[in-house]
Amino acid sequence: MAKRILFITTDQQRYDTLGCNGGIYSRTPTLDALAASGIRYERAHPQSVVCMPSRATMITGQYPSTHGVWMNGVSLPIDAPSVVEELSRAGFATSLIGKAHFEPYVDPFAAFPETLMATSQTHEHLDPWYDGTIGPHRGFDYMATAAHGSAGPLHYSRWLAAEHPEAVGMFYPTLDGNLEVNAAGGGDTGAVQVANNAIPREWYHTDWVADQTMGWLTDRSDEEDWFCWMSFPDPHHPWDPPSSELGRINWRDIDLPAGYIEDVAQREAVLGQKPRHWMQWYEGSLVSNFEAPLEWVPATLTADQLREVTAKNAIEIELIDEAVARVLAQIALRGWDDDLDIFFTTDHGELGGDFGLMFKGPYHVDGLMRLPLIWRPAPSRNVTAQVVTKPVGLIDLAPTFLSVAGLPDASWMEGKSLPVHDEDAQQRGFDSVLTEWDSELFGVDVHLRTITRDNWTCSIYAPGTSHEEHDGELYNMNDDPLQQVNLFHDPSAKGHRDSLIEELRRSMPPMRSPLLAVVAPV
Amino acid sequence: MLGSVRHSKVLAFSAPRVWEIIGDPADLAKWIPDFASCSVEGTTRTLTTKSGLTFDEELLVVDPVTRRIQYELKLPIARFHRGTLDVVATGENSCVVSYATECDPRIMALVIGAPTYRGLVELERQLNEGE
Repeated sequence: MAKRILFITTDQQRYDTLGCNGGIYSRTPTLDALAASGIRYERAHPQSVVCMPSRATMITGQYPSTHGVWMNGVSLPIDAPSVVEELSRAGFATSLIGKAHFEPYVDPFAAFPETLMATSQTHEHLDPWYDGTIGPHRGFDYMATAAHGSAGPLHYSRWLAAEHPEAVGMFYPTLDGNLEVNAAGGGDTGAVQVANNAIPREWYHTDWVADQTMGWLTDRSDEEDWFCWMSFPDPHHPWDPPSSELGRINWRDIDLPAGYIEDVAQREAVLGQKPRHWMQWYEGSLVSNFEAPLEWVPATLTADQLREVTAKNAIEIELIDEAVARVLAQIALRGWDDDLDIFFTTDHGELGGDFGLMFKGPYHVDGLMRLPLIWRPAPSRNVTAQVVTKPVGLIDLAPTFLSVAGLPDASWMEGKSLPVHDEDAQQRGFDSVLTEWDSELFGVDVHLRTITRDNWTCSIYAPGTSHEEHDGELYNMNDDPLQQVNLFHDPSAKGHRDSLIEELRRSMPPMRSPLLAVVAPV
Repeated sequence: MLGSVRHSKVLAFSAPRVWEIIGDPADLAKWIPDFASCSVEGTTRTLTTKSGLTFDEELLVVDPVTRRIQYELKLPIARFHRGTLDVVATGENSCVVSYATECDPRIMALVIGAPTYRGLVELERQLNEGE
């Protein structure tokens, strides 16, 4: 029987946006059904809360410090190790359809294969692998790439421009004329990165990714082993789903999220206990990273704007769920489901109004770190449905793919194959999970390291633009699930803090040296 | 504020040896892999990228004594640009090559600075392989 792996990712999706995780706005019956028949992870964290480092971790099974993609704009070296290369070497047909982002998007010189493939309208590219072998780029026989709209040189943009040029201008422009993340408001409330998008649903990138995936699957034989990474660009901003779908969720019916503190004085008191860059960003005096709009001040976010963002985000997730359903229906028709392992996750979360903030940045709290992760093992293996509460990381995906494929562990991977239940997690030492942040952009630097263990989250900062050596965050998530009370300097929590810091310092790999160059904003 | 990006390499080669490769502004396409062609007429340098873009630069400084080249890129999207390439001797057989890009808007410094980084990598390769 053939081995088949469908790896589904989204971009910038919160844990609490799936029905199976308690989400109340998006209807996600397809993903909920996968969770009900498989393994749902309640504490899955990324090793970086931005796209490029996190995606590099998924494909290498390494920490950002090791693979070297220490911030957005740093390209994963062409010859970095890749789990997909191992699968390809073992005879798997391999593809990535949708958002790759191992290489920078802003690449006018077409220096990177992701750009080159799209500009030359090809889907394969030969490159050196980590062991000197020459093979398909990062192990993928076939790549069809997309990002968050019609801009840029990727396959989706080219397809849209060629087939439906009238739709190119319908998307919200993610970047402004200065190539900064756009701060312009739109939609009904003037919310940042929101627009009403007249594009027909069937031309939108979510359905395009599903269509392309189904096309690639059509060419697979019943005997073939395959690995398909179906990578949806949504629900990452901009929040501009097709207007035809807006009737699904009326933003006026949205309750404000639990993490959004309505009382301004209380909100600012909470932010004031955190390291300085939190309040500096909120009030608009410091935007430390490229991923948030430079000209947008979070303190100006209104409740209605947050409602509209939440509604449009939820609609985008529904469209993804329906796109996944179409692909799974095709797979079922081929009779492949019994031997199919399905994984669903995202690269990082979204602040989503928590503390009055949106987007992402050096803020290691659940909005950005707690991710949806589902593994539906092949039914032929008779794995019973489980909920795993122990902490796991996206770093554990690559070893899991090898395990599912029946391949030996790779010495260069730093993760472990995902546990199938809590007892398995306990026996194999899934006690804690680590997340890194480093950024240096135009004179502003931020460096933090975070460990989550036993329902405590602890972050330590290195000296930087806004931070001193002893800055930190410590949250007891049993008592304070919204992470609003920073206990880092509370004497009563010193024991927990010191123990967590000791493990963090002992577990974190050293940063690759010299640092790889930042060659683009993103 | 301008965006400012600086890439540099410490090289185990003399400054004159490095300047032989990079000191002629018309030779840029020989060591920055992003460019397909490069020509200089007067103080205007014309570059064509491998991705098909063509643009002009105004050469401001070409100084073989201090080993500095400085220029401005003429592109509508860049309200201001200055590129500065320096070779600084640190010993008889060692030097630092520094390539700085200042730009408004600031993000363009990262974008325009990317080929300068790739050029330094290629320069080191050529020196090591004796090309």
